[in-house]
Amino acid sequence: MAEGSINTETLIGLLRLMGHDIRAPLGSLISTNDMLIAGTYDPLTDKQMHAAQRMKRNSRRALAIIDDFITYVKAEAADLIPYSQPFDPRAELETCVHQVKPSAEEKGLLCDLLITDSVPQQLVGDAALIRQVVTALLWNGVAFTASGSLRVESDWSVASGWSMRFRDTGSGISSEDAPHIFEPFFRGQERPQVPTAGAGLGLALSAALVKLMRGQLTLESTGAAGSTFCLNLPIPCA
Amino acid sequence: MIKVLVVEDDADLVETYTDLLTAHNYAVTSVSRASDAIAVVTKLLPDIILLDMNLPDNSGTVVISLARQYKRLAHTKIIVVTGYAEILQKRNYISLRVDLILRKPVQNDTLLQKMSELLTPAVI
Repeated sequence: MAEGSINTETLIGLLRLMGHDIRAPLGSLISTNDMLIAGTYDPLTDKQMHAAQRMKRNSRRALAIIDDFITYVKAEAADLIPYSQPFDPRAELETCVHQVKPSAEEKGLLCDLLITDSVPQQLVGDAALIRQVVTALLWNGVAFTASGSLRVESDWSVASGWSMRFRDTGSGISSEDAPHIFEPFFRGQERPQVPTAGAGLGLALSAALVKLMRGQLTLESTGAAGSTFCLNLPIPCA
Repeated sequence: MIKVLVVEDDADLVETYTDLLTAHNYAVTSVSRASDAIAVVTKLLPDIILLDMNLPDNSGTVVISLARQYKRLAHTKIIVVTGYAEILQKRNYISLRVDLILRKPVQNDTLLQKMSELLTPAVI
């Protein structure tokens, strides 16, 4: 291949192949490690169990980084097409909160979900993409909040669609970092405080997916009392 | 004992499936090529086929076609395990005529639970 000849289509094709090929070895690694932890082979000592748990965490983290990266490139290249199907917004939000709650509670953080009556029983949009964005925003909150709480507030209107606010009580984002937080692999002055945090792609990926769904994701406010991200998706009720 | 035919060309992944499934009392037979799967499947009459689609000699679809034409395999559940996210779209369940499509890597608990659900007759 001549220097400089790689185009977006080729790159996405290569990434797709890489994404496929890496899943077999990662699958084997994750499953075998889970069997070690489950005692399928032999019981582990405490020290071995601790090491196996570390492998478990990091093998899943590696998978998340690969998945996020491929999805990010595809989203940026508009190679992902959002599906429009009816879904239950309450159930989706609850699932996302449920996913991060154990890690939040481990840090002593309260997790609140407030869904107003304005949110219909069914909305029409790509539930999988929305779930990915919401989960990434929640993980971001868990990763960068040392104490206090995470709160998700959700409402809907005909005019503006589905809005969600993600409030945390972290130490805020510095004015130097704030303009860059939606850039891929940006690492600001703050470091995530949970080992499950990904590669610095969460916010960039979220922004790319939201753009794909013709929505908006903004950092509404930040300061010593915490940060608030605002997500708006112009999706109708079913 | 419930018979599982694993059709997968990644040797480590085959060993992993075998360790997991034998630990849960499944009888596992494995092959790495579509042609070997075709040769074995009508003799083995497995209860479940765990099938990778991207095999060295052919696509996994040839195994599905054979299994769906052969009356003695009418009871056989087919689970496609793939690394390609695109195959996961639900319409493929119909066009591929399989019972389930899972994306690699599959969590051990998920695989065991899904297999168990497929083997349990639905209660109406």
